Amino acid sequence: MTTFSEWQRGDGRESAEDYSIPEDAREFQGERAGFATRFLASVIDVALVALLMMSIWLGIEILQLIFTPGVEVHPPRAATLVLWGYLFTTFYWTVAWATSGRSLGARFMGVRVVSRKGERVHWPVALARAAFSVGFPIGLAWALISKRNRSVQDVVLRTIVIYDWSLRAPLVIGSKHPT
Amino acid sequence: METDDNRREVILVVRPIDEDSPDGVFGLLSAMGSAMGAAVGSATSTAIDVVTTVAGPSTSAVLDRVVPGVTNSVVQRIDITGLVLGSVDLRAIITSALDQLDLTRIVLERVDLRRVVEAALDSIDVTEIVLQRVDLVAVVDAVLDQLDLTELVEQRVDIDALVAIVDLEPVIDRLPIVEIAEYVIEQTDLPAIIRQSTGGVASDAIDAVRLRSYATDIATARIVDRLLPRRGRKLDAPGEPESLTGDES
Repeated sequence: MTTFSEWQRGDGRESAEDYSIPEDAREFQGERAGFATRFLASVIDVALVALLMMSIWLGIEILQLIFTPGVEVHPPRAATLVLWGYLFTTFYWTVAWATSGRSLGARFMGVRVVSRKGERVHWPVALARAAFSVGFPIGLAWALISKRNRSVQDVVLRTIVIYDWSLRAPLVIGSKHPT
Repeated sequence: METDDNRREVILVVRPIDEDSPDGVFGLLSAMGSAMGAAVGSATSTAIDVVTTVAGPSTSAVLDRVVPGVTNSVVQRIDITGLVLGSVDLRAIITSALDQLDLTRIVLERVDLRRVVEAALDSIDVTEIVLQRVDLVAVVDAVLDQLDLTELVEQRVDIDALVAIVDLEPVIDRLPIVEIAEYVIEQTDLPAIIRQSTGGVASDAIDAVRLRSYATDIATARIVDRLLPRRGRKLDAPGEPESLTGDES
């Protein structure tokens, strides 16, 4: 067992961020996340938004049924639903990336969006990245080919997606403003 | 003059020395007067008539009355100190006297040493003298060299009592509590224990999904890299020089 003095000197000491993370996963924390993980995170986010939109639509229809009985229920137009879905996803990702750096999908998959310095991304960058990701989702596929696992959005906006399973503050390196 | 008990009173008149000195008591007194006169000079050279009453016939009685006065007169006119210093071997006398005396015993018997010492101590500042003249560091060092302080403290100090009155809060304030806590957490792998005891199936499943996803990332990247072909990927952490350069592929 390492004594406290030895531990203080750094012998057998692990980084503080490792505590809440399984030992197997500690090694790659902070590395650039790969395509599969990011894709799954995005799918989860989109699925959640879709579920939300469906819930909203369903709620509206139920309210219509309750307050105007006998009225025929018209399914919402797909274009309207998709448009609202786009807008909501953009808003959702902007807030998520500019605050904690991760949406629910990213949280579930253990990834986080940071700037190239490892800091929290600024609101305009978050907004641009969210809009870009919603409007050009195929851009993520570039992470398959990129030597540094960067999507088109990452290349353009100079953002990085890292593995970060930690439950505490974002794993940022050299950050002056940790979130 | 005649008295009842066959004593006579004689009135002695001292005069300058006559050539014809009388005999008997008067002769003696005259001789002494002459001697004194010679010794004291002008004191006896002045013709003073002294009427002395001599009781009885004894010569010693006369001497008792006369000698002190004469001696006083003589002493006043002689520089005894000079005489002694010039004529006496004081060193020999003192040495001889000291040889014959046990001074220590005399001092112990006759001197109130306590008073002497107290008076001496009252008149001097012992502390200042010690501070100025004693090499206290050397003294303390010498004392400490001869002592086993650890043993002394163990034997004579009630350490438990001391610890009981120690104000521990300042000590605790100086301790790196957070570091100690982190050390304990790390050494006991507390997160793992918590995960195992409370995380349950959900967190295990999430960890499994994440790990599987990571493995898929690696596998996918390896396949793509082999197809391209190139040597692996640079997955450096953000903030490192590689990630700050603009080059991208």
